[in-house]
Amino acid sequence: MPRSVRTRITLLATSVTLGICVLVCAAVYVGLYLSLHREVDSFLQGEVREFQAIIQHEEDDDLKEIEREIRAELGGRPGADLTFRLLDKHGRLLITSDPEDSFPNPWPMVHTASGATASFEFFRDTHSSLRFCNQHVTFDRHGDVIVQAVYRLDRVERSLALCRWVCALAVFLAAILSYFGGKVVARNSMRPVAAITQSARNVTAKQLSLRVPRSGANDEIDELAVTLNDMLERIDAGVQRIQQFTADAAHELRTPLTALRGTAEFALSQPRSVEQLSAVIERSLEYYRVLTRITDDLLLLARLDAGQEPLRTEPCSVDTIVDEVVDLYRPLAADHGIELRMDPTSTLTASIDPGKIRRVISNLIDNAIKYMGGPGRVTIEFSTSNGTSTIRIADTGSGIPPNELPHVFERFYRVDRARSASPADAPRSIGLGLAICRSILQAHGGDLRIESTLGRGTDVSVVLPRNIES
Amino acid sequence: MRALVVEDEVGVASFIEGCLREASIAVDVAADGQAGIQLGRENAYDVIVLDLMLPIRDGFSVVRALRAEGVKAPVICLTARDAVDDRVKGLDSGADDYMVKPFSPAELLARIRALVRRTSAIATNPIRVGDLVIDVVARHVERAGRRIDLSAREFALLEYLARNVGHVLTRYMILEKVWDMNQDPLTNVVDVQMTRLRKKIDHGYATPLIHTVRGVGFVLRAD
Repeated sequence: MPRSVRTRITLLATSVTLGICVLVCAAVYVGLYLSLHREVDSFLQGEVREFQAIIQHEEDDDLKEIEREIRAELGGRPGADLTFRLLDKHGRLLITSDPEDSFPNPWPMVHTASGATASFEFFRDTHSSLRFCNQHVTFDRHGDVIVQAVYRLDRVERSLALCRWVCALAVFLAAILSYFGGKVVARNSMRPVAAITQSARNVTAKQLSLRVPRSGANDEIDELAVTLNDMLERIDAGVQRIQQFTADAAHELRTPLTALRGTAEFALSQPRSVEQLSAVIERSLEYYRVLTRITDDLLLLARLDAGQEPLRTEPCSVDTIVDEVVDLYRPLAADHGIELRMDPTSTLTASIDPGKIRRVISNLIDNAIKYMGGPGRVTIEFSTSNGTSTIRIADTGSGIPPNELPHVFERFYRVDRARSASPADAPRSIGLGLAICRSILQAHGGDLRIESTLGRGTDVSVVLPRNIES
Repeated sequence: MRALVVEDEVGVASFIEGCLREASIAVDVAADGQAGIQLGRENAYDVIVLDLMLPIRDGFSVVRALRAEGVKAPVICLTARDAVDDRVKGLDSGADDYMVKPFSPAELLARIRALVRRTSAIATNPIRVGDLVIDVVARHVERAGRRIDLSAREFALLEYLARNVGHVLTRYMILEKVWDMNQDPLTNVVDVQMTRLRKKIDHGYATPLIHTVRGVGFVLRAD
C-alpha cells in the first residue's frame, strides 16, 4: 500500500480513468462486432432468398447449367467473398458458385438446416472465418435441398482487428494521460496540505501565536486550515489562561507567605514575652488557614476544570441544606446587623451533590454578609420554572459596580481589592469562591447568575436543572 | 499508649512526634516503608500513622504487609493527594482512616482517640463535665441542677465538645462534624456560634467550662 496520499490519489485517478476507458472500448467493440455480424447475416439471408428465386425460376432442369450461370453472374472468381451452394438433404454438394470449392463434402452440419427458417453457422477453413446461411427448400423439380450462402468474414475481421487496435491505443493513451493528469491534480490539491504541515510543525507550546496558512480557495483544505487555526486560537487562549492563573496563584500564595515570614522574623528580632510570641503564633495560624484554603480551592478548581471531581448526586432536599447553612450563619449575620430571611414554607428537591451545593450556598451567603458593608437583609427564595430550579440569594448591600460585574467570575478577582486584602489582617476572601461555585453548578448542568444595582444590592441566582419532580 | 509514625518528611515526622508525646503517647518513627514494616512487626502499637508516599515501599504496600503479618493496630493514612481513589485504595489496603495534608495536630489526635476508642467503646450516658450534665439520649442538658434549653444544632455542638472532653477541637473539625461543611469559610462563623453556646452554658456560673485555645479552637473542660 503506497503511503503518500499524493501517490494514492494519482493511482486512484489513473485506475478509474483506465477502467472507464476499457469499459467504453469494450462496449464499442462488442457493439461493432454485433452490428457487423447482424449485417452479414441479413445480407446472407437476402442472398439465399435471391439464389432460391433464381433456382425456382430457372427453366433449365439441369443443375450444372444453373451452376454455370451463377458462376458467370458472380464472375466465377475463386475465393470470392460470397459463395452460393446447393446441397441435397444429406448435405452432399450439388452445385457451387466457387470453382475451387473445398468445403467438406458432405456438409457435416446439415442437421442445423432443417426447419422453415434460415439457420446460421460459423466455419473456419485454412484461410479465414466464414459465415454460412442455410435454408431448407423443397423444389418441385429438385425435391428437398439446402440452399447455402457463404460469406468470407475477412473484411469484418479486419474491421474488428482495427477496432481492437484503436481501442488498445486509446486505453494506453488514457493511462498515460490520466496518470500525469492525476499527478498534477494530486500535487495541486496536496500543496496547501504540505504548507499546513510545514507551519503546524513550527507550533510549539512557546509559539502558540503561529497560525497555518489559508489557501483562500474556500475548499475542504481551506476549511481544515480555518479549523486548525480556531483550535490553535482556543489552545492559545487556554494556555494563556493557565499561565495567568498560575501567576495569579503564585502571587496569592506569596501574600500570606510574606506575612508569615515577616511576622516570624519580627518576632525573633529581639527578646519577646510569651504573650507577644503567642500572639505572633496565633496570627501565623490565621495565615496558615488562608494558605490551606487557597491550596484546597486551587486543587478543587483544577479538578473541576479537568472534569475529575466526581459528583455524588442524590435526590436532596435543597431547602434543608440552605436552612442548615442559614442556621450556621445567622449568629454571624446578626452580629453585623444583618437579617437572614428564608421563607420557611417553600421547599425544593433536586438531584445534587449535597456537599458541593452546601459549599456553594455557604460561599454565597458568606459573600453577601461580607460585602454588605452595614446592616441589611439577605433574602433567600426558591422558585421553579420549566426545566430549572432557582435559589435566589438577594442582599440589600452596596451592589457591584457595572464595570466590575463582568469580572466577578474571574479567578482571583476581588471587588474592592483594597478592603479585602488589607495588610493588617489576613485576607478574608481569596477570590476563587465564585469561580468554584460556578464550576460546581456547571458540573451539575446548572449555572450561576449575578445581577446587581449599585447602591441597591446584589441578586445571585443558583440555577439547577430540575431533573426530578419536587 | 504507643504509636508508630511512618513518615519520610523530617519536619512533618517531628511535629507529629512532638504532639503525640505531649498527649502522653510513646512514639517510634520510621523514615521509610521497609523500616515501618519492620517496627510494626516487632512492637505492639496502639496506632500507626502512615504516610502514603514513602521511599522504598509506599504506604499501600506497608498496610498490606502489616495486615498480612496479622498486625491489628488501627492505621491512619496521611496523603497529600486527596483524590478519592487514593482514599479508597488506602482504606481497601486495610487502613482505618485517612487524613489529607495539611492537617492540624488537634485533628490528628482526635482521630487517633476515635480509632483507639472504637475498639473499647463504652457509651457513657449521661456525660458529666464538672457540674454540667448532658443526657445524650433524652437530649437534656442541665448545669448545677438548672435546666438549659438548647436548639438542636447547639446540642449537637455541645455533645461533640463533651464527647471530646479535655481535647481541643479545631474550627474546621467543628464545621465538618456539626454543620457537615468541608471547607474553611475563613470568616469567624464558628466563633460566633461558640459565643452563643457559651452564653447559655457558662453565663452566670463561676467557672467557665468552654475554653478558647487561641489560634487553634475550643475545648470543653472542667479545670
